[in-house]
Amino acid sequence: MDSRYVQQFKKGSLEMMLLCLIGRGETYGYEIITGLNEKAAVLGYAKEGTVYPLLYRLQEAELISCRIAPAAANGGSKKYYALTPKGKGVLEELIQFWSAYKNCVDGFIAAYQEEEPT
Amino acid sequence: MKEQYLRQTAKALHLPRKAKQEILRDLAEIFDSALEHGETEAQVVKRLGNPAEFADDAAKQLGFDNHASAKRRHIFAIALSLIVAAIAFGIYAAARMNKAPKGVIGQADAMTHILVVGSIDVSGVLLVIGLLAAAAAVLLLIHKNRKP
Repeated sequence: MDSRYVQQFKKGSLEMMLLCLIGRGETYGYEIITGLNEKAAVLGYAKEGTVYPLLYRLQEAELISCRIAPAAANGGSKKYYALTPKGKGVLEELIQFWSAYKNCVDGFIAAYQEEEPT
Repeated sequence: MKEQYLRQTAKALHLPRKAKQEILRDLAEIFDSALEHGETEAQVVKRLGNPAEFADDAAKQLGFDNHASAKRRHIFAIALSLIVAAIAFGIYAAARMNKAPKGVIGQADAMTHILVVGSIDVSGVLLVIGLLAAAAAVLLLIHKNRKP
């Protein structure tokens, strides 16, 4: 069930889910990936190759900000992402749009299922 | 494996230094975090996929065209080939306009028919250079359009 059409839906909604995840509080790459894999198994395995480019895009659009802090556990560093005020505004807009969108699509589906010739 | 992957990605990233460093730092974090949670470097490499593709994707979302410099070089090569071809053809045509054939001494009303032996046929060489340059330009153009 991984056709071109499904891919398109996934792409758009993943960004919104990322904004929700980051909006809950400062978080870092690995936590985001595992969070997506626990809560969004339906999207398939969220890979760094998919998530990081989206993080770059959100960062470029100034919807999220980041700071780098040393990571004691592995001697490297970790980048912590947070929602910017602009990001919060966009997320609120997206949430509103999403419920209208969902109702609309559901309406079409319900009408189809009622009148589908058997 | 991590070092190799980072090296390959670095090589495939044609970006300003700051953006490049950021992507490479993130990549190092991806490996470090995964290892910290018990994954192997091989597993991470497999999940990340082709370094060049990772580099292209990351660069694109940061708002860069990862192949801009390569494209510029390509266009420069096409322009240079065309200029060389134009100059070669131009000189060739100018030489041909000269009524006297090459190697003829003097410009008397009637030709003297004294040919200088051993003079290299410069116009022929120019024609070949012009044709080669034009062919190069056409090949470069075809290559460019096939791989946008």
